[in-house]
Amino acid sequence: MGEEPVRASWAEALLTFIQRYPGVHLREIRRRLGIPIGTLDYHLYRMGREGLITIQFQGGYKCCFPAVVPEIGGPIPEVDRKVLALLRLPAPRGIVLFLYLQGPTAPAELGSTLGTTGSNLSYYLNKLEEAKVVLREGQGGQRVVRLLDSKQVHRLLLQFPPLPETVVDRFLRFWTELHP
Amino acid sequence: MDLGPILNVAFAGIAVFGAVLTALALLAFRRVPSPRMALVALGFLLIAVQGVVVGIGLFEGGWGDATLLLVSAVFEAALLVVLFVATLVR
Repeated sequence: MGEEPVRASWAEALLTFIQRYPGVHLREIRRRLGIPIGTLDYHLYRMGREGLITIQFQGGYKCCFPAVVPEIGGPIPEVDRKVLALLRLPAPRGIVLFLYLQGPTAPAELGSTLGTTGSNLSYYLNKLEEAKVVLREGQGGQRVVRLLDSKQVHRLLLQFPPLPETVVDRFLRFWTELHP
Repeated sequence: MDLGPILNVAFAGIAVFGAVLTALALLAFRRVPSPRMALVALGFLLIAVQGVVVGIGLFEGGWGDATLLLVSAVFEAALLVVLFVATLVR
Protein backbone atom coordinates (compact mmCIF):
# COMPACT_ATOMS: atom_id res chain seq x y z
CA MET A 1 0.00 0.00 0.00
CA GLY A 2 2.82 2.34 0.90
CA GLU A 3 4.66 1.61 -2.36
CA GLU A 4 2.21 3.40 -4.67
CA PRO A 5 3.11 6.96 -3.60
CA VAL A 6 6.79 6.08 -3.93
CA ARG A 7 6.25 4.78 -7.47
CA ALA A 8 4.17 7.85 -8.36
CA SER A 9 6.83 10.19 -7.02
CA TRP A 10 9.55 8.33 -8.97
CA ALA A 11 7.52 8.65 -12.15
CA GLU A 12 6.93 12.33 -11.50
CA ALA A 13 10.58 12.98 -10.69
CA LEU A 14 11.63 11.08 -13.81
CA LEU A 15 9.27 12.93 -16.15
CA THR A 16 10.21 16.32 -14.66
CA PHE A 17 13.90 15.49 -15.02
CA ILE A 18 13.55 14.46 -18.67
CA GLN A 19 11.45 17.55 -19.45
CA ARG A 20 14.02 19.79 -17.80
CA TYR A 21 17.08 18.10 -19.32
CA PRO A 22 16.13 16.62 -22.73
CA GLY A 23 18.67 14.20 -24.17
CA VAL A 24 19.77 12.99 -20.75
CA HIS A 25 21.23 9.48 -20.70
CA LEU A 26 19.77 6.53 -18.82
CA ARG A 27 22.92 6.09 -16.70
CA GLU A 28 22.89 9.76 -15.73
CA ILE A 29 19.21 9.59 -14.73
CA ARG A 30 19.94 6.60 -12.52
CA ARG A 31 22.92 8.36 -10.96
CA ARG A 32 21.11 11.65 -10.33
CA LEU A 33 17.72 10.37 -9.20
CA GLY A 34 18.89 7.16 -7.53
CA ILE A 35 16.09 5.11 -9.08
CA PRO A 36 16.82 1.35 -9.23
CA ILE A 37 17.53 0.27 -12.82
CA GLY A 38 14.57 -2.12 -13.01
CA THR A 39 12.17 0.56 -11.78
CA LEU A 40 13.71 3.09 -14.15
CA ASP A 41 13.31 0.76 -17.14
CA TYR A 42 9.71 0.07 -16.15
CA HIS A 43 8.79 3.76 -15.90
CA LEU A 44 10.61 4.66 -19.12
CA TYR A 45 8.80 1.86 -20.96
CA ARG A 46 5.44 3.01 -19.55
CA MET A 47 6.09 6.67 -20.39
CA GLY A 48 7.23 5.75 -23.89
CA ARG A 49 4.10 3.68 -24.46
CA GLU A 50 1.91 6.54 -23.18
CA GLY A 51 3.63 8.93 -25.58
CA LEU A 52 5.08 11.12 -22.85
CA ILE A 53 8.71 10.56 -23.82
CA THR A 54 10.77 9.12 -26.65
CA ILE A 55 13.95 7.12 -26.23
CA GLN A 56 16.65 6.78 -28.84
CA PHE A 57 20.04 5.10 -28.89
CA GLN A 58 22.88 7.39 -29.77
CA GLY A 59 26.58 6.70 -29.56
CA GLY A 60 25.99 3.72 -27.27
CA TYR A 61 23.77 5.72 -24.92
CA LYS A 62 20.04 5.48 -24.31
CA CYS A 63 18.88 9.10 -24.55
CA CYS A 64 15.51 10.30 -23.27
CA PHE A 65 13.53 13.19 -24.74
CA PRO A 66 10.14 14.61 -23.76
CA ALA A 67 7.49 14.03 -26.45
CA VAL A 68 6.60 17.72 -26.41
CA VAL A 69 8.61 20.73 -25.30
CA PRO A 70 6.24 23.60 -24.40
CA GLU A 71 8.69 26.31 -25.56
CA ILE A 72 8.88 24.72 -29.01
CA GLY A 73 5.23 23.63 -29.09
CA GLY A 74 6.15 20.16 -30.31
CA PRO A 75 8.89 17.54 -30.25
CA ILE A 76 12.56 18.47 -30.47
CA PRO A 77 13.67 18.24 -34.13
CA GLU A 78 15.85 15.25 -34.98
CA VAL A 79 18.82 17.44 -35.92
CA ASP A 80 18.75 19.08 -32.47
CA ARG A 81 18.34 15.75 -30.67
CA LYS A 82 21.67 14.46 -31.92
CA VAL A 83 23.44 17.59 -30.74
CA LEU A 84 21.61 17.70 -27.41
CA ALA A 85 22.48 14.09 -26.61
CA LEU A 86 26.16 14.93 -27.14
CA LEU A 87 25.90 18.13 -25.11
CA ARG A 88 24.77 16.02 -22.14
CA LEU A 89 28.25 14.41 -22.03
CA PRO A 90 30.95 16.47 -20.25
CA ALA A 91 33.73 16.05 -22.85
CA PRO A 92 31.73 16.93 -26.01
CA ARG A 93 30.04 19.76 -24.12
CA GLY A 94 33.47 21.12 -23.14
CA ILE A 95 34.68 20.90 -26.75
CA VAL A 96 31.58 22.64 -28.14
CA LEU A 97 31.66 25.39 -25.50
CA PHE A 98 35.35 26.05 -26.10
CA LEU A 99 34.89 26.26 -29.88
CA TYR A 100 31.84 28.48 -29.42
CA LEU A 101 33.73 30.92 -27.20
CA GLN A 102 37.19 30.77 -28.81
CA GLY A 103 36.42 30.03 -32.47
CA PRO A 104 38.39 27.61 -34.68
CA THR A 105 41.11 25.87 -32.65
CA ALA A 106 43.91 23.40 -33.35
CA PRO A 107 43.12 19.90 -32.02
CA ALA A 108 46.30 19.85 -29.89
CA GLU A 109 45.32 23.12 -28.17
CA LEU A 110 41.77 21.83 -27.67
CA GLY A 111 43.10 18.65 -26.05
CA SER A 112 45.51 20.43 -23.72
CA THR A 113 42.95 23.07 -22.70
CA LEU A 114 40.30 20.48 -21.91
CA GLY A 115 42.82 18.17 -20.24
CA THR A 116 41.84 15.15 -22.31
CA THR A 117 43.95 12.54 -24.09
CA GLY A 118 44.45 12.58 -27.86
CA SER A 119 42.49 9.37 -28.39
CA ASN A 120 39.62 10.60 -26.23
CA LEU A 121 39.51 13.91 -28.08
CA SER A 122 39.60 12.15 -31.44
CA TYR A 123 36.75 9.84 -30.37
CA TYR A 124 34.49 12.73 -29.38
CA LEU A 125 35.47 14.85 -32.39
CA ASN A 126 34.41 11.94 -34.60
CA LYS A 127 31.06 11.79 -32.78
CA LEU A 128 30.61 15.56 -33.12
CA GLU A 129 31.55 15.40 -36.79
CA GLU A 130 29.05 12.59 -37.39
CA ALA A 131 26.35 14.74 -35.78
CA LYS A 132 27.45 17.64 -38.03
CA VAL A 133 28.32 19.85 -35.07
CA VAL A 134 32.01 20.39 -35.83
CA LEU A 135 34.27 20.23 -38.86
CA ARG A 136 38.00 19.49 -39.06
CA GLU A 137 39.74 21.52 -41.74
CA GLY A 138 43.27 21.85 -43.09
CA GLN A 139 46.27 19.55 -42.95
CA GLY A 140 49.20 19.01 -40.58
CA GLY A 141 50.06 22.06 -38.48
CA GLN A 142 47.28 24.11 -40.09
CA ARG A 143 44.57 21.68 -38.97
CA VAL A 144 41.75 23.33 -36.99
CA VAL A 145 38.37 22.31 -35.59
CA ARG A 146 35.42 24.66 -35.93
CA LEU A 147 31.70 24.67 -35.26
CA LEU A 148 29.55 24.10 -38.33
CA ASP A 149 26.57 26.08 -37.07
CA SER A 150 27.35 28.29 -34.09
CA LYS A 151 23.80 29.75 -34.18
CA GLN A 152 22.34 26.28 -33.54
CA VAL A 153 24.77 25.75 -30.65
CA HIS A 154 23.92 29.19 -29.23
CA ARG A 155 20.20 28.40 -29.40
CA LEU A 156 20.54 24.95 -27.80
CA LEU A 157 22.81 26.21 -25.03
CA LEU A 158 20.28 28.90 -24.14
CA GLN A 159 17.19 26.76 -24.57
CA PHE A 160 18.30 23.66 -22.68
CA PRO A 161 20.24 24.19 -19.44
CA PRO A 162 23.16 21.91 -18.55
CA LEU A 163 22.74 19.30 -15.84
CA PRO A 164 23.47 20.88 -12.45
CA GLU A 165 26.81 20.08 -10.88
CA THR A 166 26.80 17.37 -8.23
CA VAL A 167 28.92 17.51 -5.06
CA VAL A 168 31.40 15.13 -6.71
CA ASP A 169 31.55 17.38 -9.82
CA ARG A 170 32.35 20.41 -7.65
CA PHE A 171 34.92 18.44 -5.68
CA LEU A 172 36.61 17.28 -8.90
CA ARG A 173 36.56 20.78 -10.43
CA PHE A 174 38.08 22.30 -7.28
CA TRP A 175 41.03 19.89 -7.16
CA THR A 176 41.54 19.96 -10.92
CA GLU A 177 41.63 23.77 -11.00
CA LEU A 178 44.15 23.86 -8.13
CA HIS A 179 46.71 22.10 -10.27
CA PRO A 180 49.01 24.53 -12.16
CA MET B 1 37.76 23.96 33.20
CA ASP B 2 38.01 20.37 31.94
CA LEU B 3 38.73 20.47 28.21
CA GLY B 4 38.69 16.67 27.84
CA PRO B 5 35.07 16.28 26.64
CA ILE B 6 35.40 19.22 24.22
CA LEU B 7 38.57 17.71 22.74
CA ASN B 8 36.86 14.33 22.41
CA VAL B 9 33.97 15.90 20.49
CA ALA B 10 36.37 17.96 18.36
CA PHE B 11 38.41 14.92 17.30
CA ALA B 12 35.27 12.85 16.74
CA GLY B 13 34.09 15.65 14.43
CA ILE B 14 37.44 15.66 12.62
CA ALA B 15 37.15 11.88 12.15
CA VAL B 16 33.60 12.14 10.76
CA PHE B 17 34.33 15.06 8.40
CA GLY B 18 37.52 13.36 7.28
CA ALA B 19 35.60 10.18 6.52
CA VAL B 20 32.92 12.09 4.56
CA LEU B 21 35.57 13.90 2.49
CA THR B 22 37.45 10.62 1.94
CA ALA B 23 34.25 9.06 0.59
CA LEU B 24 33.73 12.07 -1.68
CA ALA B 25 37.32 11.86 -2.92
CA LEU B 26 36.90 8.14 -3.62
CA LEU B 27 33.74 8.86 -5.65
CA ALA B 28 35.67 11.52 -7.57
CA PHE B 29 38.53 9.03 -8.08
CA ARG B 30 36.06 6.49 -9.45
CA ARG B 31 34.90 9.13 -11.96
CA VAL B 32 38.41 10.36 -12.86
CA PRO B 33 40.96 7.68 -11.85
CA SER B 34 44.03 9.93 -11.65
CA PRO B 35 46.97 9.62 -9.20
CA ARG B 36 46.22 13.15 -8.01
CA MET B 37 42.71 12.26 -6.93
CA ALA B 38 44.05 9.14 -5.18
CA LEU B 39 46.43 11.38 -3.20
CA VAL B 40 43.61 13.74 -2.28
CA ALA B 41 41.61 10.76 -1.00
CA LEU B 42 44.67 9.59 0.96
CA GLY B 43 45.04 13.07 2.47
CA PHE B 44 41.48 13.10 3.74
CA LEU B 45 41.87 9.54 4.96
CA LEU B 46 44.87 10.68 7.04
CA ILE B 47 42.69 13.37 8.63
CA ALA B 48 40.00 10.82 9.46
CA VAL B 49 42.55 8.37 10.92
CA GLN B 50 44.16 11.19 12.92
CA GLY B 51 40.75 12.03 14.40
CA VAL B 52 40.20 8.40 15.37
CA VAL B 53 43.69 7.78 16.78
CA VAL B 54 43.94 11.01 18.79
CA GLY B 55 40.29 10.64 19.86
CA ILE B 56 41.06 7.16 21.24
CA GLY B 57 44.18 8.48 22.94
CA LEU B 58 42.20 11.24 24.63
CA PHE B 59 39.37 8.90 25.57
CA GLU B 60 41.63 6.29 27.13
CA GLY B 61 43.59 8.97 28.97
CA GLY B 62 46.79 6.93 29.27
CA TRP B 63 48.66 8.93 26.63
CA GLY B 64 50.56 11.98 27.74
CA ASP B 65 50.01 15.39 26.15
CA ALA B 66 53.39 15.23 24.44
CA THR B 67 52.57 11.86 22.86
CA LEU B 68 49.23 13.14 21.56
CA LEU B 69 50.88 16.24 20.13
CA LEU B 70 53.55 14.10 18.47
CA VAL B 71 50.95 11.77 16.91
CA SER B 72 48.98 14.79 15.65
CA ALA B 73 52.12 16.39 14.24
CA VAL B 74 53.10 13.19 12.40
CA PHE B 75 49.64 12.91 10.80
CA GLU B 76 49.59 16.60 9.86
CA ALA B 77 53.08 16.47 8.38
CA ALA B 78 52.10 13.41 6.31
CA LEU B 79 48.91 15.19 5.23
CA LEU B 80 50.83 18.29 4.11
CA VAL B 81 53.27 16.18 2.08
CA VAL B 82 50.39 14.32 0.39
CA LEU B 83 48.49 17.52 -0.43
CA PHE B 84 51.69 19.21 -1.63
CA VAL B 85 52.32 16.38 -4.08
CA ALA B 86 48.63 16.23 -5.09
CA THR B 87 48.36 19.92 -5.92
CA LEU B 88 51.81 21.05 -6.96
CA VAL B 89 53.77 18.16 -8.47
CA ARG B 90 53.12 17.46 -12.14
